[in-house]
Amino acid sequence: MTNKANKTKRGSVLIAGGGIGGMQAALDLADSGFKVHMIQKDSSIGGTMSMLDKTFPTGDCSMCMISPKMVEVGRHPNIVLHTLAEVTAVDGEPGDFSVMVKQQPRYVDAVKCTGCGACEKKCPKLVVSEFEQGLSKRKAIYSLLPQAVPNTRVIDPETCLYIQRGRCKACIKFCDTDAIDFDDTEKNYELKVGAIILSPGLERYNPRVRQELGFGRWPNVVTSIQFERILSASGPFSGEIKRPSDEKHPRKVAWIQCVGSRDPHNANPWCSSVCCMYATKQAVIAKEHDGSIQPTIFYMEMRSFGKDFDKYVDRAKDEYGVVYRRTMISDVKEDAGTGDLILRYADRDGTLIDEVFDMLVLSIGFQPHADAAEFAQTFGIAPNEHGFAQTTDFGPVETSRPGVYVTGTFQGPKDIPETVAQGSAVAGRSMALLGEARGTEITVEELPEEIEVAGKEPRVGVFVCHCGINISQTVDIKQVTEEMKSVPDVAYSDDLMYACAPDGQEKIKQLIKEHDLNRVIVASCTPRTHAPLFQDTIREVGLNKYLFELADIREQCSWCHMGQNEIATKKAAEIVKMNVAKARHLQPIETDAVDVTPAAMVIGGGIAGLTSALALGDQGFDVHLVEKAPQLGGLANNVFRTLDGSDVQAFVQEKAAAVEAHPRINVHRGTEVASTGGFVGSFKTTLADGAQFDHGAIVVATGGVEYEPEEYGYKDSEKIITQRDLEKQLANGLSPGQQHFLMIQCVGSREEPLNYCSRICCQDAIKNAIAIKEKSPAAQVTVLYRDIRTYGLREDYYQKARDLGVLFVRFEPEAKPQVKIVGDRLQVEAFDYVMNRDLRLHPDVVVLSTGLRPHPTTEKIGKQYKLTRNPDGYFLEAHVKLRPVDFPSEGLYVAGLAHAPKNLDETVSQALAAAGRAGVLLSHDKLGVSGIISKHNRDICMSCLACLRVCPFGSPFVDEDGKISHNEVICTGCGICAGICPAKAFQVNNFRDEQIHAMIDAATEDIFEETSSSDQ
Amino acid sequence: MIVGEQKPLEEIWNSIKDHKKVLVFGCNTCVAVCQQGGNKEAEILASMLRMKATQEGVEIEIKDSGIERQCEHEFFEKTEEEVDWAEAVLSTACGIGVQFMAEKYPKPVYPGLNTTFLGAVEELGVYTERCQACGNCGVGNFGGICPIARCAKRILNGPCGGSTMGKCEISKDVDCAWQLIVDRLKLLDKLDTYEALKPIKDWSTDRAGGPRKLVREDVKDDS
Repeated sequence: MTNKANKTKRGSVLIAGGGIGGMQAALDLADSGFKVHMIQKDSSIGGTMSMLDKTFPTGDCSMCMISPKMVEVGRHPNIVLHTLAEVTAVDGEPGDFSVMVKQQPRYVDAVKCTGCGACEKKCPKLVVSEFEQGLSKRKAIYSLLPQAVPNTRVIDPETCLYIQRGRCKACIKFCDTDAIDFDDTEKNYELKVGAIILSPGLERYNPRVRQELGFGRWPNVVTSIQFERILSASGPFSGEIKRPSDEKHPRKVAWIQCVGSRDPHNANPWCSSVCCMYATKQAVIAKEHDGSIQPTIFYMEMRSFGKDFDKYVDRAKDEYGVVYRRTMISDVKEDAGTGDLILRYADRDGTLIDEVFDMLVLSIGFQPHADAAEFAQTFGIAPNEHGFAQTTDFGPVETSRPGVYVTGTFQGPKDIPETVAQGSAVAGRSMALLGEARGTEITVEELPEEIEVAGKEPRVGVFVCHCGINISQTVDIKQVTEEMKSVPDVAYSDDLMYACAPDGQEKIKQLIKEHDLNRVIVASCTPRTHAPLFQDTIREVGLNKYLFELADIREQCSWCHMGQNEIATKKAAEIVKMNVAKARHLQPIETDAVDVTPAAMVIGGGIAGLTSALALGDQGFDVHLVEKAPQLGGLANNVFRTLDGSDVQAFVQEKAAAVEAHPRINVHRGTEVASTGGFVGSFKTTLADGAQFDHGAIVVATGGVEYEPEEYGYKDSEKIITQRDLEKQLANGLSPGQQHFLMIQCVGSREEPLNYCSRICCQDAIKNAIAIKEKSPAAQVTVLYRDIRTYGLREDYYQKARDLGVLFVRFEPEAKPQVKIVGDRLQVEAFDYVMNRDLRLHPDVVVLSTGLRPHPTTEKIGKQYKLTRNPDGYFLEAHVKLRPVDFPSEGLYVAGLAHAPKNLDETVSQALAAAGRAGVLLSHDKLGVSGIISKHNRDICMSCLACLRVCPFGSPFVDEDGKISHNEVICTGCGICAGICPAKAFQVNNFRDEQIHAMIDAATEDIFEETSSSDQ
Repeated sequence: MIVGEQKPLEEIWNSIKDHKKVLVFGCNTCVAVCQQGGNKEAEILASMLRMKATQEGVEIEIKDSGIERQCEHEFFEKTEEEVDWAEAVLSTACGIGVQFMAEKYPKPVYPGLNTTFLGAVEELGVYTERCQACGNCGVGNFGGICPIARCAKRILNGPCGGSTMGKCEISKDVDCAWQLIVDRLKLLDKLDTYEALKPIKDWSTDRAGGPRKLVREDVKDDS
């Protein structure tokens, strides 16, 4: 890092784009002491992920996963949201940029607006909803999605009757808080930041262009994103699967893949990377919603290249009966009268088939925003030939302009976990750039001393929220409020229009003081999103934040009992009563803080380890890099070129030299970890060579190994080699006798016992095939493959290989090619599905595309640190979508091949991400321990070890006395120990037995009264 | 450790259903470790029985309590009142605890568990037998593996003809104890002890000699 003229760097970062990648970057940066300005074009953050129904492979609700993140971003004291805004100019240099921002008027004062929605209800103007993809209508005053952040409405000036025609103002009339502001105007202002992150996301291909598929003509042809909304419980059909023309439940549903993708003549040449998996997911979820649906997916190549993706596709086939047909659809017609769709396709033997479907989903791909060129120009970065941000395999998040980083689909098509990982990666890159400026621009809140409540009688305050009409139209708020007044220990009970609005919170604070309340209950919505807000509120007036309880009477009452006002009111009263009963037993919880050693250990000195070590060292942390081999570089030592032709050897040497020379990095070569003690923030490790050091975080980058094939006669002839051998030969110059190269894909991959895609082999084969053809155009290259998985922008190289004359012949696992040695010649027999006949080839060289295996040390490291692995032996991350580089155990992160097979650029991204995540942890002097943890009572514990055996985080341990003790620092409060402990020695704070019993008793006392009175 | 297994609910129910006040009484040592009869298990069992009573429409009051060990007098002092209240006690201790309690109180004490064996915790939820308390330990001669507890035939000069591929003829899931013994002796380089003929075992220290008693005169309190 060169530091120009000692200029002070700014401790703030601008993030352009508020999708999941931008949000991850924002949270990582803000959590580690940087101020973040998030610029979002839409009126709410959330991006594409907020439109999705479910995510594979877990089937988790997408909104349920992203909404807490959105709320966290919205509430974070170090993040400033600039919605309806875009950047118009960027000036300056890395560390000190000046950015001009243009913000469109919202016409709604976000501070005054409570989000009640009265205006929206009364607005007379209906327009097509962009969020619902045209499947339903919205009003001219609206919020982008129900869970919008910021949670306030916006007026669409294009359709607002008052703005367009000067009449109406219904919204003003019905707004109780005077939040509508038609005088709002466009604002232009300047922001000063140290780094810039671009996460604008992508547009989707418009399938109207492909007229033969009928989109826009036949109503029952929908896009995949429309189908997501159809599947969504909050979508136009409330999650029932209906087709648009007649809202009939479809039976036969077809998906057509690659619409707008992999089509250089009519659409975009690249592969959009995600459609194979989302189509599979949609088919599975559709089947789950409605068992009578028969899904068929028409595809060119199944690109299920990610970790455990093939397993998901197999499940779709075997358990859900999803039919996959490898054929392109040439024509779609509507059956007049019925609205059904007739798809014409060629069967394997060439026969044309017409098949009728009730509904058709077009799997549309990604493309850069229409204004991508302008966007790139504004930020002064170079676009690539397709309009994506230009990056390299070695610098996947660096744009052409220093200090400006790119993440997510603007860098190239990718799925959610890779976007999230890149979000952490750009955060890590920004931290490395701005390291010393950390903490200079954030504000730390001053809080009053906590009020002593121990020993005092409980004085419970109950606040029942109307949530506009969300709760009050079903639940009689006044009645619930009144009923609570007579419940023992309730000192005060009142109702609030919006408890979460600023005025509602002010009122809560004031009433706590006025009535000397020492326990507070808000009866409103979901604890997950709102409890932290109210906890902060009561803390601001000196109450310990664990003296708060949220009674959910919206999701669990008013919403699910709509129209049943009487019983809903009764249930709401009971829910609140249960929480009062619990609140009586609430005690203040003191939270500990432990010191953090600002150093990291990186296990593994391959590309992942080197990249992580450098990024952490540049952030200003000490790094211990442990490499088993005497030499750094790992597997990359055998790789010469990347797909884009870059020199890997030079890159590895440069990285290794930089690591060796880095003042903060200690390299321990030729040794391994003997033992690690301690916990997150303060680990102590001893190496096999006796070296000892303290560190706060661990990056596991143990890498993988190449599979050494048993198949296809590899061991029988020197003419049968691997891609890696070929690469070496290519680097040293081919021999003239080698004229025909035959490559066989998926050797040892995608088959039992190791049934997964190794992800790199297609690229390797194509890379080497291109190199052969470029060196000696007369040479013949044949690739025998199952699916060519050149996902994303890698598709360009597949195209290039075909243009250079490389032949691709598909085989199926049931009829694999046969390699024979006949005399001194090689003979390969295969079946060609295009010509429908057997092939016999006599190549000079057979090249086996061998896959990857986890490194043998993975098992040992897994046991050592209690890390779980998937059936194939790769480490399992904390969450496959949203926590792709974290381990469930705090303070441990994963990068590179230890996690799953991946390409070099992806390894670099992930390694930067791991460094970013570790940087968030290490940037704190102290680590706050959550209040919601399990407390261990050693007096009644009998050390039966049940807890030790079930805890996924390793927090119970056998202490020096040979008995069980509990390390609260790594406890997550999951409660598994409390469930299994036969002695009840474990109790989770705020979920203690007596608290839960009190709730159950409160819920059941009336029932017992009723039954006993009816008995009499 | 003594391992126990909760009896089927139906059987437990039948034993207590004719009483009006029943105390489910846990024992918080051995059977708590195997997650079958500790005080928490007693609490859960009491709750299940209350539900059962409601389902059956039987009026019966069920409370739960428990102590550290039901095989020692002093522990019972704290729970005298609860035991007095009860018309019958359902003990979730091992057979020792049930009898010990029954001897102390003039009221029915029913077993809630089947006492299974003396065993080890192989892993959470998996318990395996290791000892039969024969009263004359000889595992030292067998490489640390007891043929009395672990050989189906209890033979002292094995194996028999039913040992196949290291498994016992009674089940493919049961290791042949003698295979284990031979492997162990081989490991310890003590195969010569295997050659030595073991004499007929004196079973008088086992159950064959009637109920057993041990008195430690030095420890015993004679005051």
